Amino acid sequence: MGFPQRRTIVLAVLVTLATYALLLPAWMQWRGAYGRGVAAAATAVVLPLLDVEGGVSSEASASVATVYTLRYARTGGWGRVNQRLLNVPDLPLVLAGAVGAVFIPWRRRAILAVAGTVVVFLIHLGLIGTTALRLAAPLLDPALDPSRLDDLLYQRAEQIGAYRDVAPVVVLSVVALLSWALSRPSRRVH
Amino acid sequence: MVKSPPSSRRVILTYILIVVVSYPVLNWVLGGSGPIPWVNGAIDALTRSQALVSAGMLRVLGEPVRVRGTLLAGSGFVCNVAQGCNGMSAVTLLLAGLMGYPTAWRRRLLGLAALVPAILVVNMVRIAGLYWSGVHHRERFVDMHVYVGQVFVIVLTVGLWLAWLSWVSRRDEP
Repeated sequence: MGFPQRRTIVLAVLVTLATYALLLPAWMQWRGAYGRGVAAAATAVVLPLLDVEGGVSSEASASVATVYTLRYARTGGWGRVNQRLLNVPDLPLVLAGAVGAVFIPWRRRAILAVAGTVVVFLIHLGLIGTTALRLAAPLLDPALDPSRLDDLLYQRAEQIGAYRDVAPVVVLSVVALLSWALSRPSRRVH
Repeated sequence: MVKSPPSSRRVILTYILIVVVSYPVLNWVLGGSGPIPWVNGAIDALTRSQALVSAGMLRVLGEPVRVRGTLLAGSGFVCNVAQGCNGMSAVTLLLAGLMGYPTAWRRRLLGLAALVPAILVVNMVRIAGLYWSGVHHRERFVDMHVYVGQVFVIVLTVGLWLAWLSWVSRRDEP
């Protein structure tokens, strides 16, 4: 059926885990910068596309917090909502998965790493855009009671934030699909 | 380089897609707050029993800990084994992988019987380790939870599932 042999599988899992362990300390240093990059892209591109007034920022301390600043109709000012959506291991995991895909050649693994990173970045942008859209609706409703508004904002931020629980599965699915696409038989004559 | 014929590649793609589509459905049903009450009850019981066994592991290692339902407490630290922490996400992924692959039911059941207990044991070790890190390195608890434990269990699950695939595909060869 073309599935890798057991030795290759053990090697793939070990290489993935070892690479992930090596990348993790660097990721802990750089995750804030990545979060700020995603937030900036969301503010510059995604929110205007969705016609949502406001912006997104990212703060990294003990964890990565995504902060939504959106128009609040009741006061005419801005409402701020915090979320831990980007506190996820996606980027080091996609890179580790690409390095660990030992059943495809290095050049294709490099392509896998780049393509996987782009897909993960787009997923994060999509999740931030969806959150912003879902948070903006109650904030723009001036008739909504403030305590009900608090509940709604918390619920909606947490609903999308549940992505954190399935993030490794999503990332590994992306790696699997891209590995499949990149493992086509070579047309080169050896 | 994988040089499998196109038909095999189609089978692999179909299989990956079945897993990707069935995982969210299974995760919803088996997540602990799904549509079937008795399943939710069973998942709750499983979560509680995992908290109990993890506490037992910690006591064996000399860590004083009390258990109340899904809460582990002691040494000024409390942690809750929540629905997302009971290993069901990994079990669901495995289940989707076992169900989606075209093979005999006997082989699926063998995979289920061998791999689900293994995943649950690894998850209980993870819970015990997280509690330990919460007591002794509290500033690292969130990172250990998000970046270490969760990834380790899922990557290990994928490895076990691939090993089952390799075993099954060799036996299914004509």
